[in-house]
Amino acid sequence: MGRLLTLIWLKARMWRHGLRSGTGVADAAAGVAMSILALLFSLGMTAAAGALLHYRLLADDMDRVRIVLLAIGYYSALFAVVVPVFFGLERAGMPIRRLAVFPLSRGALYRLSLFASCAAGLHLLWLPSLLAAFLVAVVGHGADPLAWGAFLGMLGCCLLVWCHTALLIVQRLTARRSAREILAIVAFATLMIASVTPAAIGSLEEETEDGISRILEVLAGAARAASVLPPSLAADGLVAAHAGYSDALVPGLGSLGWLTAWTAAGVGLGFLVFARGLRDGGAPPASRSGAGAGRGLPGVDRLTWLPGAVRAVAAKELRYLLRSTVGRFSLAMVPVIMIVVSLAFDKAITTSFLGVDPTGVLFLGAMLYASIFSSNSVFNAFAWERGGMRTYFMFPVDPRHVILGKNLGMWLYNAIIAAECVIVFVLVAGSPGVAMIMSGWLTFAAALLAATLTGNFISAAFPVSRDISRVANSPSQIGFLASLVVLATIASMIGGLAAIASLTGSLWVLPILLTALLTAEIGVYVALLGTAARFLAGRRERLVRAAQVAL
Amino acid sequence: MHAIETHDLSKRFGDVAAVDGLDLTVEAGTFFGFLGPNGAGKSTTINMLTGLLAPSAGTARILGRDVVGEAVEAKRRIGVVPEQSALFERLTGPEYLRFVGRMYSMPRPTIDARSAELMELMGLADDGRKLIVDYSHGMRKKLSISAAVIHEPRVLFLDEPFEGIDAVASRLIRSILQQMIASGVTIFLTSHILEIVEKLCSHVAIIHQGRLVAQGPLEELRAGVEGPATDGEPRSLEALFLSLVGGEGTAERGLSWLD
Ligand SMILES: Nc1ncnc2c1ncn2[C@@H]1O[C@H](COP(=O)(O)OP(=O)(O)OP(=O)(O)O)[C@@H](O)[C@H]1O
Ligand SMILES: [Mg+2]
Repeated sequence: MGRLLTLIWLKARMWRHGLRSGTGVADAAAGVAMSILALLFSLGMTAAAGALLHYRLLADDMDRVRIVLLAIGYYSALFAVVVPVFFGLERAGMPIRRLAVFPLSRGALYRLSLFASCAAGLHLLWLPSLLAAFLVAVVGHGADPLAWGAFLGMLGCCLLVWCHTALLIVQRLTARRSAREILAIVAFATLMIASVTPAAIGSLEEETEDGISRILEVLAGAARAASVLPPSLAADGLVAAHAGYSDALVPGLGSLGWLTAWTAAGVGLGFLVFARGLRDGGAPPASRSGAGAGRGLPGVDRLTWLPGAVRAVAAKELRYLLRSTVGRFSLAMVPVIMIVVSLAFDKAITTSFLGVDPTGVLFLGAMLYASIFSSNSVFNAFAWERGGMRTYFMFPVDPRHVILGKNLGMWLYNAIIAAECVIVFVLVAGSPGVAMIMSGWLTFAAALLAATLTGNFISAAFPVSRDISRVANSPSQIGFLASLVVLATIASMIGGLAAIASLTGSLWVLPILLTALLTAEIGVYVALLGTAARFLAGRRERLVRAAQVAL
Repeated sequence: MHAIETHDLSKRFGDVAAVDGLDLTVEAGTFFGFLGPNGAGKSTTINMLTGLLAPSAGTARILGRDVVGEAVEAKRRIGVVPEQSALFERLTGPEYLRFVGRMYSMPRPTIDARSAELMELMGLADDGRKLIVDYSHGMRKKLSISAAVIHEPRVLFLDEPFEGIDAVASRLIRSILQQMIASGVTIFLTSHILEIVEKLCSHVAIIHQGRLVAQGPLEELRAGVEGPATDGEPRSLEALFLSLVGGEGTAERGLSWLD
């Protein structure tokens, strides 16, 4: 307990020292703004969960109650486990690894790490929904507090534990595989899925209903298949317990048992992975030596017309992205997301949007979405430099070349991601047509360039040092907010262009409009490069210091 | 033309004057030792001379180039081993040297040849595929030194290059430095190991609390101290150092709970 308090004290101190500078205050303000947004979202979801459950309980429609509980459970799982893992949003950031020098057992360290993860603000996005469900059922409808408390409480614990464990596992796995191996695995998996997809989609083809109920049906179908997952266990167990049949006791207790087993397994597995990580002294071995080191990067080396410094920085940047956990993880995760999106929603969206055919809309949306993955490296571009940050200012290079090199390396990496997206989508969902594929590429490029434009300033103004071997690699609070704003802006611009294009009825208008948008952005990029470079050079002392912060 | 020339060079961090009105002149081809106690402002001075820190006041010129106004031109002619590492830890040694060479716009074949030679000479050749994170402290230092000399600098800044280096490597580095001096390079060195400074440097300056307290040829400075001449030697650099920075009498102090 004393140690826990010490850690909280440490965290508070570090936060307060962070406020010493003007940018620290600005960043903290952005953090507050973001928390308010997140809180509003959370309140909305909590109210929705409570209201839905209330009406279904009122109608005593247990089938629908079950669906609502499933929705709440999977929503919680989404924000507890999937979102932190997919986006590296875990913000806990307690320096657990560095505590290893103190006389603390591995168990104590694991508990501290778990606690830090549970205390992450992100969990406020879903925990209130579970609480709301409990209150509505128990207070509003006089349900059994023991049963509801046990199921929902255990589900909450289970999700908290798995958030921590999933992050640990992903971090270790991605760090142990080189980028090439990951690409090979993804290619293999995509081909396997693509070969069975036609059959799977064919079986869903029979009925045609409106979009929403199709989606619900697909989700319900998936949930049936996933009845061994914790949210399903909780929902099924609760429904059985709530119905109050005498023969419900056994299945109810069974569900609770399984749920507890999930939680225990999460703790056990998490501890194993954590302990191995400690034994390896921090970063897992493959992320350190060997894997992929020393191979050439022909892509960058061939660009001989570029200044040497640009090529040097670009090559370094690309190597770093391919050697980072986040970089490798995105390579693996983006195709998975494309597969899920195309399978789950492809047949669900039957209405065309703004005259564009559904597959096309889906494709554009997915490409825009995939560009989010760049935000880590764009809005906090100096996250991994450490001492290397000095080199940009020690060597006789034009700061414009540093920025250009960093951007180029990041664009090359993102070109790989975009290529993956297109290939996976075409294999799994079918080709949306050449004009659409071009539009998709252009959408991705336009979103990326808009982010880069902004990111060049945000990265220099709000640098945060991050550990390259962690999945969690978030930018500063302001960086995160900026990424949302940029994405929303660019999405609405592209939406507008799509609307204009649809009026003309020609498929080729959209790519032409997007090319015009991209050209305009390139103009702005070139015009701003000098300003960004001066800004970067002017902030070198701060940047060197921020990069130095050990984690 | 002086290799290094500063005029009233100052750096303030908030209320603290880390470097205060420094007037320093280093002739080309000298092996110059820059000494001072911890926190005296040595690294701050080097950081200003190498463009990592902007001076709060004053000017500095390297081979006649202003370090602020002609930063790129000045940096082209210098090599730096900073106090804290400037390595990209997720690159291998050769990758880092290639990075550095390109940053100095060197042609690729030259980079490759010199990088191989440096790795060999420093005894790092067998670790060519290791990432720098996995290097030992001394290996990093050796790589830093390699990176600082790969582009044939005319002025070399070394901030504590011998810290954490074994005797063999220290010998090797000293001989490389002497070879550079022989070829006309100017070396600006800070070190707390006064024996090494005595062996290598022809000129020294001593800085204390941001101000220069002595500057000149080593022999002249030693001759001027009033101190106990030990073992028949003239006066040692240590005696000079202690007398200038007020460190006499520290040997009698200690921890209260060990008495
Ligand atoms: N970025 C900074 N912000 C605030 N103060 C600083 C900063 N960098 C250095 N200082 C202060 O400036 C003074 C000189 O520091 P410097 O690093 O130049 O000392 P040094 O002579 O190199 O010492 P050492 O022998 O220990 O390396 C110290 O008081 C230090 O606290
Ligand atoms: Mg120093």
